[in-house]
Amino acid sequence: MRKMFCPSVLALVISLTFIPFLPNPLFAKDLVIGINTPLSGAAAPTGLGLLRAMELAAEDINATGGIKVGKESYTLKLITYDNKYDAKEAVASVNKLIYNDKVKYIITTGGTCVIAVNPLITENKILHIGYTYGGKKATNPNTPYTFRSIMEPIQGHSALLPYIVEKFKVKTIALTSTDDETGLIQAEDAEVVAKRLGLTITDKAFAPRGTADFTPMLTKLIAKKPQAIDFGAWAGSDGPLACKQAKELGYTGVMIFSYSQSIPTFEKVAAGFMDGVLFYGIYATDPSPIATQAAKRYEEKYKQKFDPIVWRNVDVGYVLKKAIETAGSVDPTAVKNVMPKVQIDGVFGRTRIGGKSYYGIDCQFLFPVPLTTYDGKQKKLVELHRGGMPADY
Amino acid sequence: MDTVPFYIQVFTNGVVLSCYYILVAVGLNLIMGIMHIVNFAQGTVYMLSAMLLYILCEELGLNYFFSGALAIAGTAGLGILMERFLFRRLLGQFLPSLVMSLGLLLAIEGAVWLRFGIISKAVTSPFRGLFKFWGASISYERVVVIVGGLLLIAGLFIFIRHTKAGKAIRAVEQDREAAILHGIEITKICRLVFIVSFALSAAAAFLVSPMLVIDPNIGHTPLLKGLVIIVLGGMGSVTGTLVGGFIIGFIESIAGSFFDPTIASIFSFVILVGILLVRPSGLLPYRM
Repeated sequence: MRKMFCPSVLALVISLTFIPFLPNPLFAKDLVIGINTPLSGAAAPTGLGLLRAMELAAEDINATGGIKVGKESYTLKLITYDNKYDAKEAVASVNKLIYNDKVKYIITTGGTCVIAVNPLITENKILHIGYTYGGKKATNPNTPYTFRSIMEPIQGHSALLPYIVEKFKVKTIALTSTDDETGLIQAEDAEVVAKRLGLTITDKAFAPRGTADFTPMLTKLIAKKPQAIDFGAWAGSDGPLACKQAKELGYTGVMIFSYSQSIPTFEKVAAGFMDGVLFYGIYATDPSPIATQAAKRYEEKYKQKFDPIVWRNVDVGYVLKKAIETAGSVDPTAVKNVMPKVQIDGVFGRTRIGGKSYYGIDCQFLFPVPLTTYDGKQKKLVELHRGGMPADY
Repeated sequence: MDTVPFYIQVFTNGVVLSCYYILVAVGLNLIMGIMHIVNFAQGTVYMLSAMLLYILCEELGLNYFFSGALAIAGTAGLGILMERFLFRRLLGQFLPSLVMSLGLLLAIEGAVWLRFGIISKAVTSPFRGLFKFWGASISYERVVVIVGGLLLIAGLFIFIRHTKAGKAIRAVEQDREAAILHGIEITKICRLVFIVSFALSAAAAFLVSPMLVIDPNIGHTPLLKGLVIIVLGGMGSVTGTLVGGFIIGFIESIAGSFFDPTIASIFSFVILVGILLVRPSGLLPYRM
């Protein structure tokens, strides 16, 4: 009995001594990511989409051994605050995340929120990923710790407008958009790319979101006979309503919806008027097997119909994992420095980080964007083209 | 677009916008003229009837015209309830009625938001299709708004000017005490005014919904335009509402087609200020 006892004790002592040095998730440290996103109010579906995408990614990463840094292994843990898509709330949430929760990685939803929290982020050297538009106001050389996970209109136009111009022999274009900051930036971006391609801008028109009747504005735009119209930041029900009313006015040119559109809303509001309309970033089928898998896991976990908005955020967790592992450190500055070297096969295909030629800093997630059209006869979306950004972008 | 079709288009847009605004504004103005209260929830009434139309048509699958009739009847019924239980006791009290109707607006919109969410709805249009008129494209939906709107406005005029009930409404509007002395029951007239006013807003929703979208905020534009039209045309004046409505509708169409929608709105307010400087009581005050 005594003979058996001694080797057992010895084995236990040896195991307890060495186990912490093994890459075992049981002994992994926590890597906390702060989620600063709207979970109430009108933007809640977007915020919830981001949170769930991060939950799925964290679950997957943790199940496959976590994030490995040298001999250590990190388990992803999320701390979430509702920023209500409000700049003041977003700043309060980031303060709590930095000073109470001691978080070094934060993901923020919302243009105004990202812009508002950026000074705190930079000052505290927090690695920050914004699910936001906001152009150079949100990401620029003065915000070196902030990255953007979604493609902006400027990238959508750069990737897809050359194809449209070529395929539909477009020489003139009219621009319309909302008269808020998002809309003006969207139109500005379209104008930059259109001019670069040698297109003539026949006219521009802006109106408030929720405009009841677009007909007077569209009458003015169509009177100048543009071969194409870009509908800028018109989204929600505004986009399809403008589409329907343009077609009712007899417009037969190319209609480009470069902003995120809800296809079910489009099908309801502009039923019978969608044939040939072009959409940026809308997928006719699942963009990749990874995307299909993400959708399946989402429906299994949340018992809800998958919302494609989730796809946009699935890659964030994997990009962070790759960057931390490449840096060999969880220090945000080290991770920030390697971000431009990171590439993953993500939901939308090969995802990398670039944008220096436009933002002055490599801060932008870049991936192929689809151009989809609606086939009125088959009553379904058909992908025409998938465009990416040049390697030196 | 060539010159003639362009002007036809601008004219059509002007008439459509005018009819849309007038139908909501005239109800608002009738209540103001008779009861001396302001119902800020009038735009919300328009939104509620559009939502009711959506439920009946899209969720219950009823015929559009039958749904429209039910929505108009239901909204008129709501008018009776609101008049009896909320507004009757505020007769002639401008400020309390303003606060009450603002509260109603917020409460109803909040409730609708909870039930339907923020995502816009649309009813399946029974008036699909277009026709060409001198090169201009005009949808049947717009023709329905124009014809329906003009018929309703004409009907309202006949009702106000040539029926006993209409004459009673005018009498109350002109001199409440004299009307009472002549045996006119004010409560009945108030109820009638609420019924007509709510039914007109519901009729506007019936005509316009196939052309536009439905969400909890759709009442804001007609309410705001309605108030501008009333100030422009003259408080309590149905004729003034008609004139003011056509002025605002055509300004929006013309300025929007030549300049910008934002400039169109600025134009409306500049003209409003200009007219008020010359005629502070509006263009046609005291003309029922």
